[in-house]
Amino acid sequence: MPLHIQLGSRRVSIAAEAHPTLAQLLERAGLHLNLRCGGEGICGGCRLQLAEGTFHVDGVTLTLPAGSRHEAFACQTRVLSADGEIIVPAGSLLETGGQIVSEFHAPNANSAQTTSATAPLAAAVDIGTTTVALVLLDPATGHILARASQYNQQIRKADDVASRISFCRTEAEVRVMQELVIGQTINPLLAEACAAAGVQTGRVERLAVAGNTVMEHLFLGLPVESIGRLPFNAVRHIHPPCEAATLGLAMRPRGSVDVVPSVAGYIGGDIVADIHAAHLLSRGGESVLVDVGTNSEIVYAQGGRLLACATAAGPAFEGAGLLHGRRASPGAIEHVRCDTKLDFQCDVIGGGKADGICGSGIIDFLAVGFRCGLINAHGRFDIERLQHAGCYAQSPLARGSSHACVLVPAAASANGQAVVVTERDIEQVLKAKAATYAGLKTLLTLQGRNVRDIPRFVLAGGFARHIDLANAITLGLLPDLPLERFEVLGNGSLAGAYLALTDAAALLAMEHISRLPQAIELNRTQDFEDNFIDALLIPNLNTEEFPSVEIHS
Amino acid sequence: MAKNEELFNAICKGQRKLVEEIVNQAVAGGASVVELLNDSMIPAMRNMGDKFSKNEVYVPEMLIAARAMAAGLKIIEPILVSAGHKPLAKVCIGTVKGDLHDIGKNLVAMMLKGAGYEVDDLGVDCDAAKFQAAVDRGAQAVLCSALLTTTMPYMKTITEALRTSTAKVVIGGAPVTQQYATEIGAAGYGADANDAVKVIDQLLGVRA
Repeated sequence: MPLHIQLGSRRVSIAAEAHPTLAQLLERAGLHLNLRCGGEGICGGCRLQLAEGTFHVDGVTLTLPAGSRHEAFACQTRVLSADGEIIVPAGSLLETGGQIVSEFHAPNANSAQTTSATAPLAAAVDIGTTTVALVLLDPATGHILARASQYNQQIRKADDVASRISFCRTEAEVRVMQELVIGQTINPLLAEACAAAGVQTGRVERLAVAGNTVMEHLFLGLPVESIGRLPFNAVRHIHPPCEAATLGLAMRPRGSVDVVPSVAGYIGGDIVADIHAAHLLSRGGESVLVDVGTNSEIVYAQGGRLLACATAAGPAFEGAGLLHGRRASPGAIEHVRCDTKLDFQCDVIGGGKADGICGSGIIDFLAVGFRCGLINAHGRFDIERLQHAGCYAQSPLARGSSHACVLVPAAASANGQAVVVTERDIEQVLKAKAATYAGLKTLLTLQGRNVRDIPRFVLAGGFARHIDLANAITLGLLPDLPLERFEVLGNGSLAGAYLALTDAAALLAMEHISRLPQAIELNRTQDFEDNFIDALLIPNLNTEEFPSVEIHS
Repeated sequence: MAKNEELFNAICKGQRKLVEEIVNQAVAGGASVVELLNDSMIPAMRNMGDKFSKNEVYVPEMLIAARAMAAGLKIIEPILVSAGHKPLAKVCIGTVKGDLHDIGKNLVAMMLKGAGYEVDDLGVDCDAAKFQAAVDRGAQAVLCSALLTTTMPYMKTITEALRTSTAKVVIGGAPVTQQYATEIGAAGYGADANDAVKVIDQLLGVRA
């Protein structure tokens, strides 16, 4: 029984069986839908339209005549008829080809030294929840031979950390996740990097990985269930080296694998790697490191002491949960400028037409919109101005509608649909930035410190490389510090894995670091909620914390 | 006493310090706290809740308004208690075992107080026994919140533990759906803070 799938102008037909869900059938045909909730029918990421045939939807059997348009979730729908037809909107497919940051600063990483034809090689890997980056290097010289990166294939099953934990209820499910990250993600990256460097994968004798605690556990095939619930305990934080063959890595079978140690269930090896790569301890003095993401991690260092906390910012900065939000990949608006006439100038990744906006773009939009008075401190539009400038739109929501600003009109967009930002989108961004800033302020207040007195502020993680710092300050995401106090680290997690392979003392140093931080539970801290509510405004209810930001009444 | 426009507006705009000032002045001037509550404060929160349902205000403004309301309530609560003022009904609320995310729960608690309920706030990480104890103390409804898919399944344990009790279990939080509520036998589901108040009004037969 064939199933006909309409994907934009493309048409695909696949053999269908009655039992698996549409999401499973499509996955077998190589069409990976967005199943960020783990196929539980919650997130709506795999929404599609049933056009013809008999389907089992949410426990109800539906027979649809040709030309129907019945919306359903692919993860909750089975096809029953001899053949059927469905329409898959582009927005329900997992995007590929995003910007994955594999740049970082480390001694020798950019050296011009060459490598002998027989020298043993090593691979450093950053396992992100969303993306995985790998560099192939000569550990003796630090010379990088090749880089490769792609999406962490675990996103086929679940999008964020919490849903991956939910997915892994049994040992078999942990194995599925382990296979996805090693067999489907890291091994192809190893093959790609080795091919680019013209070497055999068997020459890779060492591998080092860094990632958050859940990613490291799944890489090692360890259960993660206990990390998802209070008291968020991991199986272990310091991992003994193991042999490549035991993990199924496609490199020298007896090769050794190191995993950067973690601190707590929600403060992982990626943060330990960040701390090490940014010399937070060794440079002494006082500094702050922030890794902005779905979970923002914040570290405060002062005279050999480390404090760390994590705050749930949500996925808005990754473009998720916004009407026209998307990951930072070609077609995404990454920067926005505007004059007082609301003539928006957008930079689009890849240089083509836009079909959505990513995290750095939405930060710019809010900051420039606030500066020119289009958006007020509560994140609401000046509707009259929008209408006067011809950028007003109304965007339907589940109940009622939301005011929206047209950033790219339909005629100029990539898909013939206007790219808009709604007030509901702004709300999501305000919650994300407030969680990050409130976490920072709460952690520093506990130490009797003021955010504005921090002499050195390190921004880690891929996202921070693309944001406009001044706009992030105007929004109230970052504290109002002179720009020269900020340092952009790049992919510190990958840098830590790289250092573990090139510097004999690095792993030991990171093990030392992993024992130091005092982990602060923000939700148990009285001030956090107050700081969060203050930070929901642009830039903040306490405007005195942002003296450089001009406030309109 | 008619509606105190100044107080009503200060709550809607989330001006916490102004709310405290107005309430303190009114109390010092001998105003009836029951009237302050019923004619100005509760209508202000109901007004915000209605606007929220219509997407005219969003969570940030709701949180700021609720915080201002809380500051006002804190001043009049002891006076209300000593005056023997009767709340609409008594309910309890908490985040479920394993879940520490309480900002959403706090907003619902504030909205319920703002609507005239007595709220027994059990805090975070509450097991079934804690909810049961609150029911034994007189809670007529149990509101459970979970933000994570990893902690949500505990809601089933709670509905099962309270099956024989007369208290109504209402659940909510980001991953929770009406379908899930039906599946585990919860009496109600609140899609958002204002919806939670309406569901409680309905389940307890209270007219808003």
